[in-house]
Amino acid sequence: MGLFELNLAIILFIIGNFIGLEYSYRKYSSPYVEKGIDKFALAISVFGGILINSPLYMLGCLLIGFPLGMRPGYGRVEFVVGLAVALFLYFLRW
Amino acid sequence: MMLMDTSLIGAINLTIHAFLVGSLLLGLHRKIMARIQGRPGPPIIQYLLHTLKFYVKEITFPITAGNPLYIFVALLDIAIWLAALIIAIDFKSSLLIIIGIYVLQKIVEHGCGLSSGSPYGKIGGVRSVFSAAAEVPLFAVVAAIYLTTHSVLISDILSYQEIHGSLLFKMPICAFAFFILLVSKAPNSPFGIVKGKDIVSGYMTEHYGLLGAIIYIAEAIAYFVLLWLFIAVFIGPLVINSPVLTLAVMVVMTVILAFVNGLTPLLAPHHSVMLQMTIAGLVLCDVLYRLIVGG
Repeated sequence: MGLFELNLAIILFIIGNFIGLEYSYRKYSSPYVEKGIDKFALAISVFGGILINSPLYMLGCLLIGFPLGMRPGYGRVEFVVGLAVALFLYFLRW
Repeated sequence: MMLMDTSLIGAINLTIHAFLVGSLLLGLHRKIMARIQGRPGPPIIQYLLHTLKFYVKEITFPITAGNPLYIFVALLDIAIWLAALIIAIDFKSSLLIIIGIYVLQKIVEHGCGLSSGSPYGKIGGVRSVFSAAAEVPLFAVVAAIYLTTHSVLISDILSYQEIHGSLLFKMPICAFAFFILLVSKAPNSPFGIVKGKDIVSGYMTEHYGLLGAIIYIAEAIAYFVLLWLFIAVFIGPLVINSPVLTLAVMVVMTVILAFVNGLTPLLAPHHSVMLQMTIAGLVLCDVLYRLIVGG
């Protein structure tokens, strides 16, 4: 992967973070919740983890950035699950 | 080969990469430190959000500010780190120039603090000169590297490592000293007396708005350049030739730095300087040993 492609992936990852932040501030009003899983974010995260190991890795970066960007206290489990899926598939392919 | 494109487009590409990666890593650093301290912490794009927020804010000048130094010092900051980025990563040139640039950073910190007229800024500026001890290990590291590789050019050091393997295992004391430099440059570091919370934000206290954003951008690039230098000089071409692998190692190093900074208290200025001088002494012993043994 060249530097230009990597830059595009990083920019999409940042956009994913922005969307996640905006989404979670609109959806949740309480400031910090440790328990509870957002099913939508979980689905996006797992899908991103799968896509990151495919030729559509840029879209995968956008999707996996979504749960990471969510407001503090939200989206942590979702992101870790997505990351675990991405790493598992990467090592499986390797 | 990574980052060998010395064209204008390549340089712009590299600059954007350095800014984005540096900003995200500083955000990650802050997040991990917050988690260590039992706080939820901001999202990792917080540093980018701060930069953007300041970038669009109105510019005002404190009544005590000494213009034009107040303005030019921010521009000098970004100029020197952009120069470091191109010289180190694009041209793979001399480490001595990088030292020169790192010394210029002291002028920025000093000028930034003194030009604002704020007492906090002034103390930050004075402490910046006081903490020039951080550069002594850097000089000693370059001397030791020269004695081993017989060159100070980054390209030569990389080709030396291609043949002889990573320098990290050949010169662990130098790697440690350079790592301490990274620690002292990272935010909330035990050596961060220049921007210690006891003096608000040190030399940055009175720089806000557009000028603050410019300094933030320069700091993101500086963080990227210093991490890149550590990886290039001590880990070698195996990692540095792949941008993705470099990014992965930078993330790992940021996690380590965040743990170091999160678990150590801010040192008093004289303790900080004494510790850095001790590390410099350690590296000088290493240099002497290499001089006697011959490389």
